[in-house]
Amino acid sequence: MVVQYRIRWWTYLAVTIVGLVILVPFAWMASTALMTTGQTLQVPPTIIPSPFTLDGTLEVFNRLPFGILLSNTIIVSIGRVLGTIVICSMAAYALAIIKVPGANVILLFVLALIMVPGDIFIIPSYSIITSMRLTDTLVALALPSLFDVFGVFLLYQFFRGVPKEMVEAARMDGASHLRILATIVVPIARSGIISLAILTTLAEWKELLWPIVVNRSLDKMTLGPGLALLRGEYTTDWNVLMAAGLLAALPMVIIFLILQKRFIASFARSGLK
Amino acid sequence: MLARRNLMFATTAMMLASLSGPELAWSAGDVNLSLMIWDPAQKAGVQKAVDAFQGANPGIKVDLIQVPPDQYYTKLDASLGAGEGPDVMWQSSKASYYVDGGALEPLNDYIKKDKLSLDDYNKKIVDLYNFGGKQYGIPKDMDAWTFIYNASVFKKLGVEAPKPEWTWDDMVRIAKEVKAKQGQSDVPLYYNYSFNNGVSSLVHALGGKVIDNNKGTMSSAAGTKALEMIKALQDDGLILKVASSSDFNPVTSLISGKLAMAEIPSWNLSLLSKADQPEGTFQVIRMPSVNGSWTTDTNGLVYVMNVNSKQKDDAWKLIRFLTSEQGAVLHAEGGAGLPANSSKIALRAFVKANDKLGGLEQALSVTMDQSYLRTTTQFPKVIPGNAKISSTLMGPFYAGTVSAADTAKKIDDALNEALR
Repeated sequence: MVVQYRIRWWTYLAVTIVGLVILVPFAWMASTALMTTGQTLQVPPTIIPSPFTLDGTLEVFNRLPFGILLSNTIIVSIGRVLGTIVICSMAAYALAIIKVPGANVILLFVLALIMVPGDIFIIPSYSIITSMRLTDTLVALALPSLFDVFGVFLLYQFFRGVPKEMVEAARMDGASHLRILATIVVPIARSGIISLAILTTLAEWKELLWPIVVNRSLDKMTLGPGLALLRGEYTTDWNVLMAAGLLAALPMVIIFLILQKRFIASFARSGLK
Repeated sequence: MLARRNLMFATTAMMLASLSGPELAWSAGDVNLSLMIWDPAQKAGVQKAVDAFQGANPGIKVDLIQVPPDQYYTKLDASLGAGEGPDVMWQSSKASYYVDGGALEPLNDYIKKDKLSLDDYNKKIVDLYNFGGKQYGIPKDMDAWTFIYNASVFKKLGVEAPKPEWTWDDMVRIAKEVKAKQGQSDVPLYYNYSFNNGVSSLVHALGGKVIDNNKGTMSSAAGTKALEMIKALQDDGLILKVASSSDFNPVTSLISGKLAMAEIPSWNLSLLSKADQPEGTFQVIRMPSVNGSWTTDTNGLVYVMNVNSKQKDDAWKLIRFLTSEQGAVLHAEGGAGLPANSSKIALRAFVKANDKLGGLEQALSVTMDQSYLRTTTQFPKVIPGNAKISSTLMGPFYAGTVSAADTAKKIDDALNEALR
């Protein structure tokens, strides 16, 4: 039986309030981006830029190689998403489908690792990257995060839902594990893979500390550290910083608008927010 | 199928190769030095000195890296911990931790070999970086706090501007006059209200001390009075409410004319002199005197050498040049902080680089010898304690929920705990 909910006025009120809470900071960012530096410093703050100016946006391009930072972020995000999906799906396959000996203990370790804050691994990760002579490269930005324990756990949950009979039938037909993974498990758990891809892209887009630590050259950085460079130690031109923030967020917003339906569907199925 | 797979492998390999690229600095090449700093506002000055160094030493290339201040020490910890890191870097109050960890190179042998006289630098700053008789850093700059007022604001409001020999009472009187004539959203005064700078300086000016005999002494008469004096500025509406001023920026507010006068550190002076304002808009005077005395807290940055540098002699050459009279002049010309090199020429270069600021030389000359070492600089052990004081004690005090006497006592407790 399908329960019909009647939408009452308070539903609209709740949606409006929550919507405002989410959208107002973003709108403020956009309006600050269109102000002059002087306007951003007024007490009490002004909300509507008057006059509108694109000075902040132009200054972003003067101060930062924005195009390089953006393309680096895209390249590293793609590399990180592909690598993470390959590694995590293989690991999750081993744990959920093959059920390797000690799978439960391994899973316990995976869960424990999820609870450790990632910044703790910065110093050891740096040592490893240094010994591989990969500091100041784009590879260094993605490499340590390819082994994503959260991704393993997420895909493990999805792979558990794959019907055992299908896997067994394929094994009897002589299919290799890699083939079963690629042709049976991954297509069935597609929404999990898409969720992981989205989360990984977002994580890379927001990454700040690791790129600064491992790389030195500005042309080997991503957008996060680029934006951080716009913050002075004592003074910050907020209009420039907000314009850069807006420009950095724009590609993600556009991608979201295009793929909106798929995103929502995959998250709804994955039970994640 | 096989061909397609091979093609995929080849493409992946090519992509990886193009991403990794050759490793140039930090490990390869014998004359490629790296220099790491944190302040974006001083980068142009350092770059100017670095360019001159490269011109004089064509065989040495210096890679100047500016890391955002918040991530500077994390990056340093990671890279130094891995036996890597820049050849030469800035250090400040945290230097002792790096000396204890064996990450910095003692410079005594180099100083001796080159017969470098440390008397050419501000002695307080030199001594700060001497640990167990070993000198680890050569001073780059030092701090001094002065007052700046926007002369055009005073002219517009018709208020008499502060005089070079002004007192605390003059400051309060003038700020009140400005407030009476200013617009609602404007601010008459900015006085540094933090414990480590504004409050402690006032304690010293009042003849007291923050730490004495390795114990917190804020509960003294001078300590409590200093707290009350700064809180009175807030309560009279002469400075912004502390609770709502964490994002208030005195430099940009002075430039925009929203703020009439402010206590400004020397490392921010170049931002004012670079502002697009007519000459003479900003006038510099010393801190207002209290009972006839005034003071400024100081700290100084040094250039230090990485103990793991593979080009130590060249790294020393760079440090030597950057801290020389010529290096100090170039730093100043490019807009960096007040030179710690005591040469008159270096100070004059700093004044000249900021010549849009009227009265700078006079204000600095009566300020620099009135300085005391900042509490967190003289006692690095209290750095975590200071963070606690700022985050948990000063807020309730300025909000009026805790009295000055109780706050002073709690500050002493926090200091004593940190000093233990």
